[in-house]
Amino acid sequence: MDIKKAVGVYHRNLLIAIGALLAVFIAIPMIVKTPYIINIFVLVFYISTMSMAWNILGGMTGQNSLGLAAYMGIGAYTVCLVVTKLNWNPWAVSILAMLVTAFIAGVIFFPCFILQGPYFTLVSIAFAESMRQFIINSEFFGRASGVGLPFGPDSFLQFRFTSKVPYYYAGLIMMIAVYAIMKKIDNTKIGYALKTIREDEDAAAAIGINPTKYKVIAVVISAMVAGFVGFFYASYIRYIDPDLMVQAKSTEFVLPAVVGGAAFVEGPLVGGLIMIPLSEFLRANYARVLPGINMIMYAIVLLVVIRFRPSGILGWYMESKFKKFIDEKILKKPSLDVLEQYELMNYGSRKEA
Amino acid sequence: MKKLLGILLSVLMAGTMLTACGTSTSEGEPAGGSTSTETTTETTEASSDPIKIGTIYAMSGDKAAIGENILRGIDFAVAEINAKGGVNGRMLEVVRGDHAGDAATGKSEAERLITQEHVDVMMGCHMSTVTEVVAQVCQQYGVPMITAISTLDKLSDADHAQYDYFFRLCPLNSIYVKDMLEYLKDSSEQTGEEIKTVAIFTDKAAIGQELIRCVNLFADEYGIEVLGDPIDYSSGAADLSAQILALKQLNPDAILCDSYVNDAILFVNTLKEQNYQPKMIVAKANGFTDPSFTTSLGSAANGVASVVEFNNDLTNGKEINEDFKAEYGVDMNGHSAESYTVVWLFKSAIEAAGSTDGEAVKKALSELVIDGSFAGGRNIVLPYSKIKFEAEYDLAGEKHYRDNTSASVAIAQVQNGEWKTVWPFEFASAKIEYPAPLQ
Repeated sequence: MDIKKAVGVYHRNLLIAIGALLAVFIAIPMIVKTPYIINIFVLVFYISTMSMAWNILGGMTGQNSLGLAAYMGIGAYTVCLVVTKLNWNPWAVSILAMLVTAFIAGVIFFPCFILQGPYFTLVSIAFAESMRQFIINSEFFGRASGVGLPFGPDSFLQFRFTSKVPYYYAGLIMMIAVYAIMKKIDNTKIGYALKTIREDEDAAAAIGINPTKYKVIAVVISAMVAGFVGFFYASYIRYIDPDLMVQAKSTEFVLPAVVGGAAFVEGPLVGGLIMIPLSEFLRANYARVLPGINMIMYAIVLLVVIRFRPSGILGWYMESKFKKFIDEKILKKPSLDVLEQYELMNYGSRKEA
Repeated sequence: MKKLLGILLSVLMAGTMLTACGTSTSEGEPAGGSTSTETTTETTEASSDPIKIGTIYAMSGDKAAIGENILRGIDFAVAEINAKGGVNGRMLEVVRGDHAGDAATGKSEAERLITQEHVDVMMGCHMSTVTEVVAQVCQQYGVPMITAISTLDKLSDADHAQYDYFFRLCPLNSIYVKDMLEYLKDSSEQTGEEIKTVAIFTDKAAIGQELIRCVNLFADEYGIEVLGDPIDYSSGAADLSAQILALKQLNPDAILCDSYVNDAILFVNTLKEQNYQPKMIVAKANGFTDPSFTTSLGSAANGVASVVEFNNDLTNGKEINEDFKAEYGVDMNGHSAESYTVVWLFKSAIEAAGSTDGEAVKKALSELVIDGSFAGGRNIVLPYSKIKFEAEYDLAGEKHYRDNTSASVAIAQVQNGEWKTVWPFEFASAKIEYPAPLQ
C-alpha cells in the first residue's frame, strides 16, 4: 500500500510538472506580443522537430544522416507545387507530402543500407545534393528561382495567417505530437530493435532482428516527419527555393540533437530550446559589430559542449546533483527498488485480470 | 568509437560554420545604439530621435563581399546627409541585419528590425528570394522598402501588384540584357565586325536563369542567334574546364555570361588555361563588377566587358567616386552607388512626407520624381538622369509595378586592369578593345 501511495505521489507530481511546462508554452503568445520572439519560438519548434527526425536515425539507430534538409525540401516542394498547380487544399497535400517523401527516401535508401557507418553518411549528403541539383535543373520545379504559395486573406483551411500566433500553436502541436510518437517508438519493439542495431549490427542480425528492414523503417519515419515539417516551413515562409536543401541546413538540424543529447528522445527538444535562441541572440547583438563573429561564437559554444559534454546537455543532467535534487525534493521520486516493486505488482495484477 | 564519431562530427560542423563566416569587418557603426528600448517611445516620436533605416544584406557567408560594398554606399550616404543636418532635423541611423544568404534568416531579421528596432524604412536585399520574403514582411507591417539591387523581373510582376510598400530602383534583368544586346549591335560601329551569334555561360542559380530567359526574350528583336544550350555550372564551382571546352566548340562571336565573383575569376583563369580567346565577353554584372574581380586578375581580365550600374569614369560619377575612395580606399561600384542613391531617395521621400509614418512615406515615394539631382545633394550618380517609380507599366508583354522605369545600365570593359566605360558612346571614356586581349 505504501508503495502504491509513494508511486502515486510521484506520478502526480510528474504530471503537474509536465502540465506546468505545457501551460507556460501555451501562455507565451498571450504574454509576449513581439512577433520577433514568437518567430524564434516557431523556429525552435520546427527545427527541434527536424532534429527529432534526425534523432531516430542518428541517435537511436546510429546512422548519421546529413541529408535531412532534402526530405524537408521534398515535402515543401510537394506542397508548393501541388497547391499552386492543382489547387489542392494544403492540409490534404501535407499528407501527400509525407507519403512522397517517405516513398522517395525508402526507395533510394533501401539499396544503400548495405553501407554502414560513414558510408551511409556520405550517401545521405550525396542524396541531398543530388535532389537539390535535380530541382535546380528542372523547369517543372521552377529551377533556381523557387516557387511560392498563393497569398490572400487569413484562412485556416489554407493554413495561411498574417499573425505568427497560429503558426506558434501549430508548431507546438507538431513538436509535441512528433515527440509523443518518438517516445512511443522508443519504448516499443521498433525502438529496441533500432537501439540494438546501433550497439552492434551483427549481433542484432544474429538474434533475429533484420537490420535492413528496421533501418528502412527508421529512414521512412524520419523522412515522413521531415516531409511534414517541409509543409509547415513552406506554409510559414510561403516562398521556397532550392537553397533550402543545402548541406548547411542539414547540419543545422543535427545540432539540437547532438547538443541536447542524442541518446535521449528529449535531446533535440532541450538542444533546440537552447541553441536556436542562442544563435538568434548572437546574430541580433554581434553580427552588426563584426560580421560573422556570431557564427564563430556559436561554433565555440558547440565545440565546448561536444568536447566536454559529449553525451549532450541531457547526458550531463542525468548524472548531475541537480537532477537528484529535483527528483528527491520536488518530484518526490521513490527509489528504484520501490518503482520496480510497483511495476511487479502491476504486472501481477494485469496477469490475473 | 561513438565518442570519436562525436568529435569528428563536431569538427565537421564547426568547420562548416567557420567557413561560412565572412571575411569582412565593418566600421562606423555605433555599436552602443543597439540596446532596444522596447515599446516605450514607439508612438510618440520625439523630433530628436534618429530615423532608422533597416538594412538586410549578407554580412557573413560566401556572399559577404557583396554585402560589404552595399553597406559602404549606405554608410557614405548617411554620413553625407547627417553632416548636412539630417532629415527634417533628425539624424539617420542604420540598423543592420544579416541574412547570411538564407530566406528564413532574412524573414526573422526583417521581423527583428521592424518589431524590435522599430526601423522606419527598409533596404534589401541582394538575393532575390530573400528580397521576396523580406518584402512580404515589410508589406505586412507597412514599412516602405526599396531594393537597390534585386533585379529579378518577377519581384514586380502581377503577383506582386498588391505589394504597394515595395519599390525598386535598379533596372530589371530584362533591361540589363536588353542593353547588353543593344551594345553588341552598336559595337560594330567601333569594331567593324558585326556580332551575329552568342553563347551563354552562366550559373545554374537564379541569376543565370534570368540571363537565359531574357536573352531568349530579346534575341530575335536584335537579330542575334543563340548557339546551343546555355552552358552552366553550379555556384562555387571547383573546375570549369569542361564548360570552357564546350564554349570553345560552339565558337560564338560573343559570350554572354553571369556569375558570382569566385566563379567569374575562375572563368577567366580557365579561359587562359584552356588557351581559348573569345573575341567578345559581355557579363551581366554580379561577380564580374565586384572589386576583387579586377584586383585578383589584373590585366588577365583585359577585354572582358560587363554591364555596370556605375563606373568611376562615368561623367556624373567621377566626383563622388573621389570622395568615396578617400573614405574607403576602394572605388565605388554599382552596388554601392545604387544603395547610396536609395538612402537619398528615402531622405527625399521622408522630407516630402514630413514624417516617418509608413503610409505617408509610401505615398511620397510613389509620387517622388528626382530630375537630375537630389535637393541638397549631388546629381544622380547612376547612368541615367531621372528617378520615378512607375505605378504600373508594360514590359515585354507583362505588367510590372513600382519600378524605376528610367533606370538603365552602361557597359564597361576592363582595359589595363581597370574598368572603362565604353557604352553608351555618349557616356564613354574609352573605345572598345576588340578582340578582347585577355592578357
